[in-house]
Amino acid sequence: MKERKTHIYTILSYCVLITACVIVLYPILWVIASSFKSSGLVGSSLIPKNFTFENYMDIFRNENANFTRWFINSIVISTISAFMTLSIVMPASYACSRMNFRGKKFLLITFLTLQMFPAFMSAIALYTIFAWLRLVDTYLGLVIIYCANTVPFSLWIMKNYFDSIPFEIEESAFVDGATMFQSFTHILLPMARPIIYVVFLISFLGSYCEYLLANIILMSGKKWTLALGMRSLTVSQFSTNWPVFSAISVVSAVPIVILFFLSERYLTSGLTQGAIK
Amino acid sequence: MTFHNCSHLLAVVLSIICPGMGQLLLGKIKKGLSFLGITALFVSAYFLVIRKPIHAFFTLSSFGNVYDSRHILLVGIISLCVVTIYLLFHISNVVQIVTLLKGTENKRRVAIRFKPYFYISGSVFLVFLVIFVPFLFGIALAFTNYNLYHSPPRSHFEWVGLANFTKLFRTSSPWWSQFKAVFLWNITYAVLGSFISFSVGLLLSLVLNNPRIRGRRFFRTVLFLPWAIPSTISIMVFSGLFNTNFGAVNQILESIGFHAIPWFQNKFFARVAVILVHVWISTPFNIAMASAALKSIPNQLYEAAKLDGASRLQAFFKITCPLLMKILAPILILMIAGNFNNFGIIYLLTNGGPAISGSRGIGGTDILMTWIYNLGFSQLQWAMASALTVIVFAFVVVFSLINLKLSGATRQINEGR
Repeated sequence: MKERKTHIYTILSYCVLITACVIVLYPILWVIASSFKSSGLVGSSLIPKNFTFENYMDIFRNENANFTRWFINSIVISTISAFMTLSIVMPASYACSRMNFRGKKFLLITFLTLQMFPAFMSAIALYTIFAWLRLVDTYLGLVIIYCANTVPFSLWIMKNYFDSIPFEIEESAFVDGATMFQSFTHILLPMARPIIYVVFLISFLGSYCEYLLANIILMSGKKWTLALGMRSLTVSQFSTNWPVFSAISVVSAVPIVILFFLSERYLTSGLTQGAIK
Repeated sequence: MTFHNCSHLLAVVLSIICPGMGQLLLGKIKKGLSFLGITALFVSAYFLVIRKPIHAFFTLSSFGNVYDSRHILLVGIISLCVVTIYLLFHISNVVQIVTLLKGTENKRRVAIRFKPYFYISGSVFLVFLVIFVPFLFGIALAFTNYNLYHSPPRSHFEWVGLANFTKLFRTSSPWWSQFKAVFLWNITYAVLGSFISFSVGLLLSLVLNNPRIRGRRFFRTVLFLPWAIPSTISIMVFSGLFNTNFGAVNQILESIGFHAIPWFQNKFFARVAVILVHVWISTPFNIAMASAALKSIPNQLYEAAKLDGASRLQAFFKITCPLLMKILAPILILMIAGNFNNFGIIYLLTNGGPAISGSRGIGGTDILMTWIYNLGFSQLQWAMASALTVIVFAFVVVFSLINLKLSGATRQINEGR
């Protein structure tokens, strides 16, 4: 009796998993299939009738779609904001973890709360300020916003990670005459490599295909990022060319998906760590 | 509090009048001088730079060569921030003197060092400029009449007090009925969306946790795919999949004998589509959360339950459920708060549509944030948009306070090294 019950559980579990996988996979396979279909209506089938590489050739030479430009813009902007986030957050989280100073608690609580106020919530104010500072329609403006958006969360997870590294190791280095900077670069940084990857990736992935803030800041088509460019394809007044759009989606998403799964263990633990102790 | 003699009282009084004097009187020369320096710096800055913008802030009249009301507001806010920081410094200086005199000076008293402040300055400056100042600016705008007709640089706007809020909350005004409709759907969207993806995520993580299932790694990888794909791309793909005329979803429905569903033309179906896409995108995160929570439950509890003769179902309901809920409740709150403003899905999928006749521009799936965005950037009703933003801020603050309380983050900081 008990044996049978367990069997039913297992079968039910498989059913749930397989249903979930079908729901997850269908849209993905559909885009991939569509990207190989010849232009026109793409239909619902997952197997292209007239298999063609034409769409992929198209996106790299199409003068209207400027795909390469958007792609490079996105990569450059998100890489710079990731590096900037790291360079700003590393010293700050080091200070918050290893030093005591007046106002530290206030700072941490404020950042924890600010984490819930993403920059686009004050989009109107942000636009006014950045227009005045002449940062609208510049990459720098966008990079600054992306960076500020990730700083509070990154500071928290990095501080928590530094906290988990015992202080004694550094202390012994101090005894041996190391300066604080030396102990930071030679001891803490090598040990904190995982969290550095995580912060870099969170920042990179967060800005790579961001739409809303980019839409406020970047005006001219030449400076568009992937998200803006792709959006312009889907809402164009002429018929949307789904096969080409699908090809662009696949090309833009594949590197990110690979990056995600290469670093999955670090990344998922980093993202869930803030919440679960 | 008793003062031993006159000089102590004098020190307190002096420190209230001018920071640094008290310290000097008590023989703390170095600290006293540096405090005096800060005070002098502030006082001169106040009379040379800050005074005019603050005055202009309250009257919103032009000063110097700044004529644009928005710029006046902005400079005023930053000046007020400087004054606030100075006042905090002033108060803490008095508190320092008093604790010094009471002799109950905290032994773990933190010596003022400049290094940590230097290290955090980058983060603080950036967050101040990009999150905090816009936040204050948005609040200030909500009390002005900044709109199409009072729009700098051609014209200027003024303070109007609570006018925008009374417009919004007077039950006879059209704003109120709009607000009510949008707000109700916003709450439904946030709660339903989070709750469904939370339950689906919990169910899937429980199934994935079952050691009898083969190929768990494979299933896990597949189920995590929506997380790996940039959500902007998935949302745009879904807008094609749900397209009423050529979308794959309708074609499948028709091929198995159903009618095509007007996904983006009908309010109800548009809302269903929005929630479905939300669940598709956010379930992996919930799986990860629930799995991490499951792992954090010590195995001994289950072993003990087994010894006591509890069945697996009993163990689930008596151990797993309550513990999971305790860990995940703050996260659920956090997710609801996040979803309250999860504007990307709606903006990119339906853009707030479908339009409803007689609702003056708000669509069937508009949440507060999309409404605000359109009010501001396309109808130039900046002041009204800001008033709505203030309401959203208030909600997020309430949610984050609940979360802070539930997750015990403050306790964690207090216990920290």
